Amino acid sequence: MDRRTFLEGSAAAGGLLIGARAFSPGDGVVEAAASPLVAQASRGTSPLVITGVQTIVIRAPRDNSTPEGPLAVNPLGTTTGGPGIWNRLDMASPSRFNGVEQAVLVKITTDQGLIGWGECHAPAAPRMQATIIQDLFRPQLIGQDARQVQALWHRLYASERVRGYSTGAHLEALAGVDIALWDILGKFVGVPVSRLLGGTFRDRIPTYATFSGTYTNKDKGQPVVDRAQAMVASGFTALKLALRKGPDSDELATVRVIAEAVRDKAQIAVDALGAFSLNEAVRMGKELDRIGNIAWFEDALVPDDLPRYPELAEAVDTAICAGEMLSTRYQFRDLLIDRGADMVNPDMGRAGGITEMRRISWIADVYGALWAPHVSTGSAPYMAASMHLAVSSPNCPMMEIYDGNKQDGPFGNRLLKEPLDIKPGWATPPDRPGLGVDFDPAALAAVTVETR
Amino acid sequence: MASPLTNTAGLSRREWLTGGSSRQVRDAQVAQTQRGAAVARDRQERLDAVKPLTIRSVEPVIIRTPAKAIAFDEPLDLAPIGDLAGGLALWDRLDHATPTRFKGYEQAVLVKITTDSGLVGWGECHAPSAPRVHQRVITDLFAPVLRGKDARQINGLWERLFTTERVRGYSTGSQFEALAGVDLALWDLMGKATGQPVYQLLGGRFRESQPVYRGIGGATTEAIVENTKAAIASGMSFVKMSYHKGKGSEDFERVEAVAAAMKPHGQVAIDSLGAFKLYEAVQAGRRFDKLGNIGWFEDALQQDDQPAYAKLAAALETPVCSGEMLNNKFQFRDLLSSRGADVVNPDVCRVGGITEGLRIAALADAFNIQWSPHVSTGTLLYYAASLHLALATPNCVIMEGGAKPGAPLGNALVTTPMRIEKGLAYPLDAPGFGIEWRESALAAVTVKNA
Repeated sequence: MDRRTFLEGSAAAGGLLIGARAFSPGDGVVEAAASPLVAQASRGTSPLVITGVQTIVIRAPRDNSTPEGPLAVNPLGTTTGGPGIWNRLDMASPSRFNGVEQAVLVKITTDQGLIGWGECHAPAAPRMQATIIQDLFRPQLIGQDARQVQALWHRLYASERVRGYSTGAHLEALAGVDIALWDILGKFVGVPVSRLLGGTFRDRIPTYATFSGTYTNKDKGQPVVDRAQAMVASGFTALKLALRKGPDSDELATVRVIAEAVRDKAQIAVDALGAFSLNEAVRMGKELDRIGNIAWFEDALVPDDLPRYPELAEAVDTAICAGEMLSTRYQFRDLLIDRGADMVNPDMGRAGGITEMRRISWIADVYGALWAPHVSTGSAPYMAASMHLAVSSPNCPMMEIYDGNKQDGPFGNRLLKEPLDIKPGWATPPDRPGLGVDFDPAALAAVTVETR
Repeated sequence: MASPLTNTAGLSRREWLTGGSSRQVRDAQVAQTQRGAAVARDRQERLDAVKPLTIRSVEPVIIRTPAKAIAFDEPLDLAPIGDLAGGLALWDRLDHATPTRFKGYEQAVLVKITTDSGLVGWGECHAPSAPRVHQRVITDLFAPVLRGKDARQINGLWERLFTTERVRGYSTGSQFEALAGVDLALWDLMGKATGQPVYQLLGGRFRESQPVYRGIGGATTEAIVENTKAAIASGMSFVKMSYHKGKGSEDFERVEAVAAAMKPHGQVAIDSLGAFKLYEAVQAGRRFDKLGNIGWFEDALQQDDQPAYAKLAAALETPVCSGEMLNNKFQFRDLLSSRGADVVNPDVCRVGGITEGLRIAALADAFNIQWSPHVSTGTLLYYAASLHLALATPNCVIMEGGAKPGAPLGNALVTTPMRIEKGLAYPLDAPGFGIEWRESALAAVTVKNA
């Protein structure tokens, strides 16, 4: 929507609605009848009963491996490499499902025909999240009013709260349900989720891309520099590189050579994925300070060492970022109360969905911290929900797009009737009610491995 | 046991010096040969125990009693949305602390690990409400990692399983309960392979038996006092009761009555299951201070409000206890380094098993803090594992579960009942955790086709 259409639309809908449009259950967005505002208002008073909650495990490529098939994990006793005490047990390499992408979609249906789509981040063992929804959440959701999004979030969270279920698959499952409920509420009200969240600060959100490639002594990093410069030329103003090895590593050399090559056009973020002890992280942070052009230093510390982030943030000039490994606002409170991060990167499909992510963004704002959605492997509901929240937030400068071309991947636009508008360096949330995600049934069926 | 003065033929030093009778010598030689064979067998068995124990299969077994066929996703028993805490004015607020229950059922997930040699180890996950979740963590995430590995590498396997989702932040919940199930099975296997009770493998025990306490309830104040007296009669010097509500409820009178009944014999602990805000907990705790024999004030604060425990502990004389809602050593580090608890009560089947439980106990000990195993619904395997860890740690003060062997998943499922006398629990002197299932009873509670 351009500025002119936006202003006209706002005027027509009392400054709240996008154009004179409303949503009719079943067939997407249609032109509204005589009085859209009246129709809109009356809709808000009738209950919207949840009649079904379905989990759909998707996998690409959809091969013949079973859900119990071998995970890719490092052997026991794998060490980090590097000289002296840098060569210690590797505590931070996660499992992967060999060569496949996986996720859990959540489809919630209502008695008025409105359907909501949500998604759990579930790259390794998606039947875990699916089972939580089937056995623990679905019985609590059926028959409830779908518009009670916040109350339902609390009910589901409280179901295992005193058993200490505050992270992991539990919150990922909750995210999938929550995103679907916001989708329904948006469709019910007839506005995009970003409008429900209080409106947008910008039309589109800058994106950064994860970048892989390694400097070698032979090529002096020229091939990776060329690729990085091409990505910057295509529109990205930030690229993220892995940095899990020590100061004399090829990884730091890669960061150095690319940061230098794209200086004045883009910044380089570095991601350690929890690889370092505090002393190591401080040393690496000082190296990054010297390089200069570093956007942020992400997940520097061994997971579970959260209380030491304030020491790191104090020692290092480069912005410190953490958050993709955290699941609730309580953890972000503990991180930010002692100024342990300059920015945080919670994940929509992990940190309890829109309801909890929005609260996390508020906590970050209270502490003057920026936030940027972590967007890893996954599909459209996950991406779109991240985009809607990002544009509605004052302190979100940027959002991740995995590999920079996630929309072209097996879980991307090929599964949708209407593509998500993701360009190099920018993402624009759909200007349609709810998340604005409409799956193509045949394409979805082609990646579906289990529906329950 | 051979003394240094006994010669190799089994004769006393005197007989050996005097030659003894030829018959004596022959008998002694025969005995020596038999003893020698036994010693050799014993040595061979111990050598066998150092051979790899390759894991062939890892099977989660969902059990439920009563063993009525029900759907896993049938409505759970829980408070309605918007349920209030009750009480007057500010005390009538949203209830955040009531968990789901599976109405009228006890459920758990057993973990059966079988090795190439046919040796079987059993573990258990605490899984009262949605056991298929733990089943999936085990079948889809843990079993693929475990198959073909050496079961004796407990430390390495534990770390490997934890690391599968560590950087995705899986530090609590079903992930750790499932990890506990696997960990217990590995310790049970190690005990059976070496012919030793698990407490022996942990470095030996500090005491022969462990004091236990039991939870008490009752619809009326009179009833709960009667139950208190029954517990005292059975030898208990420590009981635990719940106290959730605030002003305007009759609950505090119940506390006073039970505390008075316990006074000559011992203490009563208070469990609030995360019901209070900090100021409410301080107000309640000050009343407990005056009673004088409150064993501890447990889980006073909302689960996610852990950092506030330090202020509660500083305000009260009554010991503050927390820990059953925590899942790993890092959470205990944060609680203990802020001096947020005087007693911690981790649950072995929730905190990742013996391996992590041992570290948590050691961490508590480093802060001069006592610990007490939280033992909730489940089988006697869960009970025995808690007991073995309790006995092998210097700072375990008392254990929960005084009434547990009588529960539906208790003595009924095992060949040898748990021995609890005069408020003391005794471990079975058998390899591993010493639990042997009555197969027909176990089959009767096993949920098929889960």
